[in-house]
Amino acid sequence: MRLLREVYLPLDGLEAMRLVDLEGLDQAEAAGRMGVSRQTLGRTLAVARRNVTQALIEGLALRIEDEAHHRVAEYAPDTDPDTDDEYRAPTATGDETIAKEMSMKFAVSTTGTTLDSPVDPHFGRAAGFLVVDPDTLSVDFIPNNGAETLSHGAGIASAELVAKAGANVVLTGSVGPKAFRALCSAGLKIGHKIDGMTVREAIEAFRCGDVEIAERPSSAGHTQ
Amino acid sequence: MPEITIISGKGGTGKTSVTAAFARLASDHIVCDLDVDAPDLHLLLRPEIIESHEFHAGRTATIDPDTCILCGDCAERCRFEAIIAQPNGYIIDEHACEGCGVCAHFCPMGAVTMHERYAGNWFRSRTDVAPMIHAEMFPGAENSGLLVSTLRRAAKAESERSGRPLIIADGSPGIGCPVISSISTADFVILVTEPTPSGLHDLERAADLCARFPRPAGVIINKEGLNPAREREIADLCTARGLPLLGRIPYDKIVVDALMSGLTMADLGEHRASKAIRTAWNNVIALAVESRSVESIHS
Amino acid sequence: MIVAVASGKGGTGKTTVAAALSRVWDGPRIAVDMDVEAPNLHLFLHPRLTGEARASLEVPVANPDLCDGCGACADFCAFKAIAVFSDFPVVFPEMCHGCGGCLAVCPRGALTAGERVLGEIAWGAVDGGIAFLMGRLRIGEAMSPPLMGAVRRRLRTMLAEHPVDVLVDAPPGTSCPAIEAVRDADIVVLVTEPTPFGLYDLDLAYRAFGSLGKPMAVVVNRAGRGDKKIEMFCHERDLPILDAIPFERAVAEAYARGIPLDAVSFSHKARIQRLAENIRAFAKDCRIAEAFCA
Repeated sequence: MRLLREVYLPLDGLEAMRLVDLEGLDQAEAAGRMGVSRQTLGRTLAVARRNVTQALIEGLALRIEDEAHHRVAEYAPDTDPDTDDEYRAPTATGDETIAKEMSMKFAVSTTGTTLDSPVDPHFGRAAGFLVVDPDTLSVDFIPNNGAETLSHGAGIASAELVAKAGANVVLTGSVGPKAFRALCSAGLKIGHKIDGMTVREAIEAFRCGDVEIAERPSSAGHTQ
Repeated sequence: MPEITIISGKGGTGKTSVTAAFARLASDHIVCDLDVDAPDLHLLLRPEIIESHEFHAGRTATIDPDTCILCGDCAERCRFEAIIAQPNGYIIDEHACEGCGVCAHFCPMGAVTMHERYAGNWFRSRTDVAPMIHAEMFPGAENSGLLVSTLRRAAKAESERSGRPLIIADGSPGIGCPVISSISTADFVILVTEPTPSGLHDLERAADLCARFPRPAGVIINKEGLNPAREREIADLCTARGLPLLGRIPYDKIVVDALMSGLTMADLGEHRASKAIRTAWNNVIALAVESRSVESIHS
Repeated sequence: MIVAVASGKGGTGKTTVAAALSRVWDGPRIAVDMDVEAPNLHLFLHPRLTGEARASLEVPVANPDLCDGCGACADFCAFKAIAVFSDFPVVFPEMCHGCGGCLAVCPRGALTAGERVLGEIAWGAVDGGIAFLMGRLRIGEAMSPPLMGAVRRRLRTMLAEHPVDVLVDAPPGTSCPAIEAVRDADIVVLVTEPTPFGLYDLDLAYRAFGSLGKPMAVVVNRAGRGDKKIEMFCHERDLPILDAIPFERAVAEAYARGIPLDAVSFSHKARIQRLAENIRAFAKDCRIAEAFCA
């Protein structure tokens, strides 16, 4: 695909539009079908419609993604003046692996500040996080201030930190129940039980499928 | 940098005594007292403080009497009975204040401010046997994950600075928040127990905790001889859980007397208790540092 | 008056002393077990419990129809009990201290009060004119002070109806729960033992409860085995030692069978009665001293 500016349409936005604009349901009913509040549906719908309109008017590519930010389909205007069609047929991506690699943004708990620093085994009390975007090759270090100041709830604060940094995958040693719940609410994937690796090695291991994805908290957690 | 943490499900099993004895027997090590609510290790190791650091945790409120208009809104909103009406104004009961910030947020005059609570101090000290990291909290302040991670970080720094690779930590009793913080980054956990009903019960809970991380662990039975039936139960539990039984320290008045004179059980020469603790320590080294397997101690 | 029986360290015999005092105390009185994490006063007093109430803490519940995800609640919360990750708050009820702040700051009124169960309080009576009150923390509940607050409020109600003396069995230690237990006390009796740990923890307790401005006196349990350091410590600080209960196997065995100290023998009972008198005399001295200072 040629490089075009893109707008994103998440799957739930597409579904919201389908139910309301195509099937003709009222918002309350559509919200019920999708299992969200009417408020949420309203917002989702507004954002989706806006993005689609922008794509059409400004001639941008419309990229449809699932919750894990995997590309599901793409619509792009044909800028070749010789063709009649304004839009190409959707190119649904078959190559999941490439899509996966291209859309992962990692937050790795670390005791240092570089890619060769060790992974910090404790998510909530980690000294900091290295946020790595393999697409753009950007590496940003975020110090974990919560670990320094909070007596309790550091896991939740850490989750807020990595969510705000735009990460969608966390790589760490252990995640307690509260941090686990917070990260899941934020929609992040958690790769845990990483032991004795550097940040770089951890990301590599994840890409090779050698990191366990947490389906429950890795540790007993604190009573507070 | 092996980190060995000693915990006990219940208090009073002799965890601190065992830690002190190990501190005597070990070499090239740092000692860290993570049992902040009842830091007794220093009574046996007698540290000399080199550096003292303030530890801040939580917040507390202050009312500026010059700005306060005595409307009483703060006192009404406070859920912790921490704002007390006095004849000439309102004051904060700092022991009751939980630092929620409601009073400060809603004060119409901005007369209430929140500030960090100075909760205690932590220290870097020297002892006869090793550098020591420990803390003392003010009354009402409690242990927390933050304090444990602060102490541990200091211990690691000291370990690197002084070239002493081994860290021996006296963990907190129980199975709550501070214990979890103590063992979450330990390389090896030693569970000290005693042959009483609560000793067995709490050993099980502590073992559960270790299993969830998972952390390699071993068990030491202290005060052996009080109840052979219980000792057997504990040994069976260890076998069932795959926990090596690293030592059995006999219950003996001489150990208590030694304690009173500030001596550890390792200082008792050829006495049974001394031998037992030395055997236990050799097993700990074999398992935790050299990764050799050991045979469980039978009575 | 309210007498709190406390100790710097656990296992010194605080509950034994509190139970025995409750039994021999002169006149109507209330025995209160404030050690809500591990209550065991009732094992010695055997009260007939006549009432029970559940105690809860108010925690926030978000209403999706009113909430717009602004995050004011999360920004306010000092305890990380409420956080906003996408557009709706996630509540961590176990972190909540029940301050009510989030409910008050929400600009849409989208938060209402839900509850987190703390445990129960229970009350009743022991034969011989002793009213009884205790709290029992729910297993899995991390915070003692909120439940202790419920016990204290119930105690206040009981005292409003019948103002009598109160004996409080405090939790061990000097952190939050112990401080909470002695908050309302007029005097604090510190139980210690003559070992290095007992002495050190007595010092902690002395400083902790002293910072609350509470008059304190000491009872030495399992006395006769140690040296004179405890006596020196108390002497230097003008801390009266109201009794030194000697170490006796008979007492230890009785304890293991749930027999209170005063029931071991007639001379033990007389000893505890003398202790009760000493406590009353001490309290009277404190009031006189206060009257002078006022």
